[in-house]
Amino acid sequence: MVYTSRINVLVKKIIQETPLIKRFLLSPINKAALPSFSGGSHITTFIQSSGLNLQRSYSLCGNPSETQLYQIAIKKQAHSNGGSLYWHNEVKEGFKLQISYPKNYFPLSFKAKHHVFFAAGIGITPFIPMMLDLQSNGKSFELHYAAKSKIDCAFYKRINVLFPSNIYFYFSNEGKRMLPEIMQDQLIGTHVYFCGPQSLIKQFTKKAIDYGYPKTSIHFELFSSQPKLDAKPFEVELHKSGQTFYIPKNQSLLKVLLEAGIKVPFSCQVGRCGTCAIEVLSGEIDHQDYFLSDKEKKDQKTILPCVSRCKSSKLILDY
Amino acid sequence: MLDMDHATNKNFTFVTGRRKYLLFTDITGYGEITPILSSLDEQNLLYMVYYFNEFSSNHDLKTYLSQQKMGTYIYASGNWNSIISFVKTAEKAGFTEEELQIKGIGERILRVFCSRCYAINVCKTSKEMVCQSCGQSLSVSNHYSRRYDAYLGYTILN
Repeated sequence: MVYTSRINVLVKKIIQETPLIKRFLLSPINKAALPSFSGGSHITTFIQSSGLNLQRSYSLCGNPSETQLYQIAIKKQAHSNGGSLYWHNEVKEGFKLQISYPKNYFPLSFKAKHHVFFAAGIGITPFIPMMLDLQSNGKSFELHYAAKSKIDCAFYKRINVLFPSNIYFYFSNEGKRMLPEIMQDQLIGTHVYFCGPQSLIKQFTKKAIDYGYPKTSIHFELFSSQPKLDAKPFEVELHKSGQTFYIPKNQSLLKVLLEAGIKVPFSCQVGRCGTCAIEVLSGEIDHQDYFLSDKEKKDQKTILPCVSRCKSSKLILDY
Repeated sequence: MLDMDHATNKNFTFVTGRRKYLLFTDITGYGEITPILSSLDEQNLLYMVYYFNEFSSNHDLKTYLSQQKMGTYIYASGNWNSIISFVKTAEKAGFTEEELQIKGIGERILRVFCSRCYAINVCKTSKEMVCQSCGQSLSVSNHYSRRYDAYLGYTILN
């Protein structure tokens, strides 16, 4: 990580929001207050317990002006890699852990005249502090929120109380679908924000571009990168040291380098922040990130090893 | 204030993928938009052409622009005074640098921030000037401040 300072916190309270979603209230240990944050921020949680080393990022879903508590909500994933299962099954009130300082890769636009949020399931979390920010500044926004049912809709009551107008729910068990056509007739100055499964983000982003939204008016949040289904193994050579590495199809270049003790700075691990960018001297990059511009991708000079791969058989890195 | 250098091209570039195009011009700038008009006609795209003076006030212009939907793209060409006033109104309506291109004709009045005394100077397009507040010679940079709506004037050390 680039920023290594961590904050010690304990789980003060756990609230069962829905059958699959728990909300965790974290309070500081030996610290008067937690750093304030802006809507859209997330924290990385670090859990080290009986040989387990879990590092997971979650959006902050509480009030940004509240510095005595951070709130995160976690859905118990059916195909969990251990993170959500541990949080749901092992973490109890009083549990101590470390968290990072808040970071924000999903900030509100200062330019927007109107903000339109699209959330699916647990994707609602970053939007709550964002809407609180906007509400306290008298800004215009609307929320479109899809869930399986009212019972599965996290923060349903809280959202209705906090934001009595311009909130639209779409419950699939009632036959309602959240459609990208909502973006079609939005007035100039609108910015759209997506948070949910990657398929939804891709679908809504494509549609927004089709409607003529500039890319700078489209925002989305990713916490996991979609594994590339047709990923191929490749070879990497570090130009300065001459070391070579084999990158298997199911591992990222970043992970291989880190496991080999190569100190590559990194942060988000989903191709959003650009922290891990490395110059490429030769080889054809298969860009999978959301950070580099179209021109930078075309130039083929920089790779984000956390998600991007290689189209040719070998990459030579200026490292 | 929008960074007008960001939206200014030597020649307009035709931007595809928008649902509606608005072209604003005056007599001096009409020639600049004709290639865009041809492209729009060729591709059978929806567009409207206006002269700046068709709107009786900036308020009317802002009302009109505010009613446009996302996917609207603007080309504006004309004398710099009209362009600067237009861009300010378009920004208030919600348009960004990514949603418009401008082409100013003739002399442009710049606001220049003195890095010595922090005064804002008004000058005609030039590379160097003397600060009207402190007398410091300044080199006019292309570093634009949205906050001050002014370009940074570096001090020239003799």
